[in-house]
Amino acid sequence: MKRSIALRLAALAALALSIMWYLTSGGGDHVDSMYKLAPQASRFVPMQGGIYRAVKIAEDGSQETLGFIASEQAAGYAGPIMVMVLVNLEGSVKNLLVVENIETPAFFTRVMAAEFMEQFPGKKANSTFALDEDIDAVSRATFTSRGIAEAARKASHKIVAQEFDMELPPARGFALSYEHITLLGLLALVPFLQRMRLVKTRYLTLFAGFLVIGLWQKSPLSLSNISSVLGGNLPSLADLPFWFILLVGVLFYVVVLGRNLYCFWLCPMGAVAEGCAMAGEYGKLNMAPSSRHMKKYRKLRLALAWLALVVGFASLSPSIASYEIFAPLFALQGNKAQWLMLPFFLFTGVFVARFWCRYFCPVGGILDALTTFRTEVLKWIRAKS
Amino acid sequence: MDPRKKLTLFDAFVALGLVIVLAVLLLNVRSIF
Repeated sequence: MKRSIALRLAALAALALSIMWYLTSGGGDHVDSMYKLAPQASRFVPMQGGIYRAVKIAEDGSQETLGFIASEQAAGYAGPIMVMVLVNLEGSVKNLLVVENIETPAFFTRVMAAEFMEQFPGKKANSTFALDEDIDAVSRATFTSRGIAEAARKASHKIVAQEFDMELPPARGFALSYEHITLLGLLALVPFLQRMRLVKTRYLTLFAGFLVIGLWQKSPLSLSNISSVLGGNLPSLADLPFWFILLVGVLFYVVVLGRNLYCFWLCPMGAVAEGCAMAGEYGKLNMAPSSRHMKKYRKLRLALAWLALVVGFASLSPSIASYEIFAPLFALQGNKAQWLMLPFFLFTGVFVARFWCRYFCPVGGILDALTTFRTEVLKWIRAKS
Repeated sequence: MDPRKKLTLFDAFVALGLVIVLAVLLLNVRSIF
């Protein structure tokens, strides 16, 4: 018992160290990025409010201002995206660059490969930069597109407010959208049904989760959401992402209600896994692994989640921690190995019920571990008092 | 051989799953360097 506690503490310490390394390594003033943005500039003069003036010094020593540079961040799919914008003296966006992001590589590459970034240069810096009005989103990478557009808007508007006599569009306030309201409804309904012991209704909520969280929002809880929060990247209230509400709701289940109600009641991947298992049952293909077997691999998913998080933070790219099958399944994105993963886990799921969930899913592993931890802490407190 | 030590199809599934998951992680790591 003592050995296992020591092992757990060592694992937690390694994770904490990698997070600290990540938190202390980032930042800087991005001078390299500024040179990429304005290659003709000779120097960048810092001004008020984190804005820089790009200055070109001619051979005769005369100085010419090329424009103004500012960076801002907004929430993307996996975490914040920081965009740096160069606005010329006419008040138009001249160039822009994503300087920091922790997006899932598949989504980010997709946006960069599309001609998304080419839509910004030439736009007036006081434009709304609203997705699908002013800027076309890249299909199947809407969250990343929105994050970049929003960060570009903030940076451009910051420059306009300080350096130009141009009118800015009114700021958007916090507003709940249809997807937020649907999700909040689902999150509120589940504990109620569970409390009433209407266990069979979980098939309905699972299906609703599949439709809303999976197909519609393509945003099942993933390890990159958890790594984003662990890395201190909390989204702002004005652009509150869907996944954040989901994460807070599920953590509420764990901490306050002491139950992991996500996996069996809401998770879209859980719904798919149960569908596979039903097909297996129908064809009498199910193999029930012995309890000895299940016990043997019980800790596998948590160990994998730990490994992915530590590697992600240590390499300063927490988004690489995401190895789930959600991306290829719901967003049709992924690298070659992820595409191999999808048929493999769907296939094995026919033979072993919830094969992915029970042995590989990092989110399930972490939620179950937190639930157990909560129970143990409560027991300990009760024993002491 | 001790029947408890015998490898089953289930063990093979887990091993293969592990290889694929590690391959995804490796490809993700490679994509940032």
